[in-house]
Amino acid sequence: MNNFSFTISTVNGSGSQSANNILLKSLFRKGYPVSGKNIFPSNIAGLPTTYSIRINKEGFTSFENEKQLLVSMNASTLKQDMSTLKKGSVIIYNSNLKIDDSIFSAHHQSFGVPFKNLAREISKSPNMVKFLTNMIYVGVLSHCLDLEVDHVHQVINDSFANKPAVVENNQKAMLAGYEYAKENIDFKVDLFKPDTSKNKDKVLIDGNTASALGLIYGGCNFMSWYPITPSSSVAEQYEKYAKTLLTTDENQSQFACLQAEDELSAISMVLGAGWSGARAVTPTSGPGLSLMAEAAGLSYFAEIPAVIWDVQRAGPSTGLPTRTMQGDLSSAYHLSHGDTEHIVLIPGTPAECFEMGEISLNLSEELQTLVIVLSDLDLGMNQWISPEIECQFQPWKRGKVLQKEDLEKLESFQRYEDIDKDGVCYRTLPGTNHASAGYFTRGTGHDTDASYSENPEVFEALLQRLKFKIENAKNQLPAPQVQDNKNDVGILCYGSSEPAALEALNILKREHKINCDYLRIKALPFHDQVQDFLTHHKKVFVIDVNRDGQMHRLILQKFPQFWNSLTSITHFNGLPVDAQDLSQNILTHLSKDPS
Amino acid sequence: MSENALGIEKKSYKGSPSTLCVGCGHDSITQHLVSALYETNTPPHLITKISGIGCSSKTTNYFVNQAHGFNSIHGRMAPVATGAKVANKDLKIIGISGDGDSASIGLGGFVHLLRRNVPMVYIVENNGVYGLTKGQFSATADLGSTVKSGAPNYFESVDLCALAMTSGASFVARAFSGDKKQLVPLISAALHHKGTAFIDIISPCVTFANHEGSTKSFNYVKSNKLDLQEIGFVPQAEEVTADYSDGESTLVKMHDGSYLKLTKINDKNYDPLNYMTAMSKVKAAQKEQSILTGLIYHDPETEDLLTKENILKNKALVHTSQKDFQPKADSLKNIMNRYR
Repeated sequence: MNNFSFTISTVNGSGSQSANNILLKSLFRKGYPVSGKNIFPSNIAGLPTTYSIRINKEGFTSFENEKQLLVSMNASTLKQDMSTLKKGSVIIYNSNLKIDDSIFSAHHQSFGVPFKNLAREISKSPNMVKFLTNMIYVGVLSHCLDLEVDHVHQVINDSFANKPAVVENNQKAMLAGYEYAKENIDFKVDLFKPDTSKNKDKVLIDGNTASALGLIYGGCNFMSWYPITPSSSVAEQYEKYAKTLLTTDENQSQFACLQAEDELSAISMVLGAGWSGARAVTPTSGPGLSLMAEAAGLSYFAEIPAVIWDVQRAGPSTGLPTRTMQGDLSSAYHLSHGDTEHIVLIPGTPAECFEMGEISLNLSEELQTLVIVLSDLDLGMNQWISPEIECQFQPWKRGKVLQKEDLEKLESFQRYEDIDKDGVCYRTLPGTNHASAGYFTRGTGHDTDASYSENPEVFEALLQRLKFKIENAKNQLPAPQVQDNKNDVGILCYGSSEPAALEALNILKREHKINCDYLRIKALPFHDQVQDFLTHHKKVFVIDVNRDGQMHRLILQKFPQFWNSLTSITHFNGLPVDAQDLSQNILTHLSKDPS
Repeated sequence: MSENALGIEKKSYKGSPSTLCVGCGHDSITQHLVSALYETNTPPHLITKISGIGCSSKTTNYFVNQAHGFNSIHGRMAPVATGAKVANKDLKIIGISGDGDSASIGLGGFVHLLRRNVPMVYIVENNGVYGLTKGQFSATADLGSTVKSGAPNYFESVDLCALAMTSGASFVARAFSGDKKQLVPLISAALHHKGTAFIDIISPCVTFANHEGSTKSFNYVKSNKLDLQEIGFVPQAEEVTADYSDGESTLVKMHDGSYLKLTKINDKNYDPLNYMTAMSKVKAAQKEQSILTGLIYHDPETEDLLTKENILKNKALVHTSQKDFQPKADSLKNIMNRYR
């Protein structure tokens, strides 16, 4: 078997997350290409949660709707969980729970495991039993997946380092599950043999952690934030790592991480800090982005460096706060009132989350404007296999900042004078000790010397320059990822839908003999390579993880000449994209209009 | 032309001409601010003027032209100032806000800035109305006072000094824009305070709130002002020769060694270091609709945001070089090992 997907169905707050991570890491260390998707509720305890793991020989690890095995620890969702199973699947259920046996059909093999009884043999503490129950299914699955006890025990040991008692109990529970399965469950997954060297140079990491590290190594010295799922862990991981990495030998902080009273303040602090010369970022998600709209316009218009790190969740409104979507694209690109256009960066992998830390800060300072990074919940909170993350250690690009010495050589300084004709003017930082350093920053109309102006020509010229500045930067932004073999059909996507898009590409080629080219957008405004791609493809499918096909619309708006060749493919149920669905969808369109 | 100890003339602390209404209380405050900055020898290049939106917020343009100024967003002076100060601890932040800016749209930011104790001077130019939008009530308008057309305010006022004290402020004062003798030393002391120094300055709006029904008109303030103290500022360099502590006067020591000399006027027992009596005095004045002025509350033992956050002491964050800041390559290698 070269592909295997299974789900563990639990209730949240039961501590299953660490058990799931141990299982995922055990498979990863074996050398399996693997992914884990946590589908969790907006709740602290008691509601259904599923964790889906997929193992695939060729490395296709996007989310699969259909599963081949179910571990059911939640009787109330058993029926629904079973609906995702393929024929001939296996169900391992908790026989300590009240379950109506008639629910199991002849299409499935089912095995009951007395999880609670087994856990009680290890500990009498009810709280401990709850946690150990999860480690028992890790043991059961380890047997079914042919993972050695010692191998999994090592992962348990590494996961609970410095807590010997916890390690011991968890190892016992895992072993109990393993032994029980060996005696009682006549089922083993006939899985391909892993290439043990496959993951040697790789890591298993979530995008938010990679983002936080990227910001630290990329020079972010100011962060303000307001807690919101799924972006909170960007700030929490930033603070955690900054406390060791950015603290001096004298035990002082070279950074600030302030939890603000709301997103209005979080972004305003970033503007104050960016204006002062800090490399400042605020992580947030959709509702927070909405609150930041007014300040986004100020950043754009008064040309203040700022970065918003938006880990998108499913909207509108409170939406599905714990599900994934790419629904903030249009609002982010033109966030705020009046004419605005922001630099938008869209990472598709944890490594790109890391890189875009430095890139976003560089661009915000070089272009003196707001940069919005659009990650999402799937990329931000799930663990992805990634090549080991490395830092390039290039000099940071700090943009056009005049120091005292520069001012001494100049006859005059005008904050908004476009000397280099690239739309980007020179700025000074508050505190610069020179008589001509100061200027007045305002969100109102201003002349080149920063003085208030309502002059029609001055205002028009200012808006034109800002438009030019952003447009002129397009090829300075991360270029799209392109696979182009001059086929007629192209697939265009962005962000975390890449694994599903690449797999769909493969399905179309392998099963339907349809060769497609591929382009993944990494930034807005559009790089010239996007237009090139659109120009020489007769048909381009634009994949959006939102209802309205927001990227499709933005492309149409920018390049209306391609109206006839673009087809919007959308996915918006809160779950990550499934490659089978995607390829089927594309096939349907192609068969309707084979040209 | 005389110069201050930095060798700078007073005119160097001046700004662009005001575009406010003739006779506006805000313009008097600007003048007093210029005097205080000049007299306290504050280096102009370190002065950083930050405001929100409104008539009061415009005034950041009317003093110290050489300094950087930031007329930001309505209600956001507080967080913008917080970011600017944390990024560069050396800046001398003068935050100017209004009663609409701080008591309504920016109420959250106001409270939380005071909780954090951001080192800066926070001035509210308080006239009880929205001037720039032509005279609507603000949240500091007194109960029963009226707008120009005569319509009364049915709601309790927000007393910014009481709110500041509730929020943990360590320097709380109230003053009248027309009282130079009181205001210049108060601003001077505020410039020497370690955390946030908050001054609520009643500043009559000549166009929309200088009528009979207003409790923030020139006439009303003059007849209902209750001065707590006569105030003198004694800079650090001057030796304190006389014994001020004669029962009538007290010396309030600032953390840097300068003093405020307070000569008590209305209440001989008033002690600005006593939180509970200060609060009860403020609330009583609010009830009576009298304008209690002077140094209302002072806590000299205060820890500011930069100290709490353990921010680098010898250098502003913005002046840290990449070499000093960026962690070494092997640190990332070690971190990556946790994710295998």
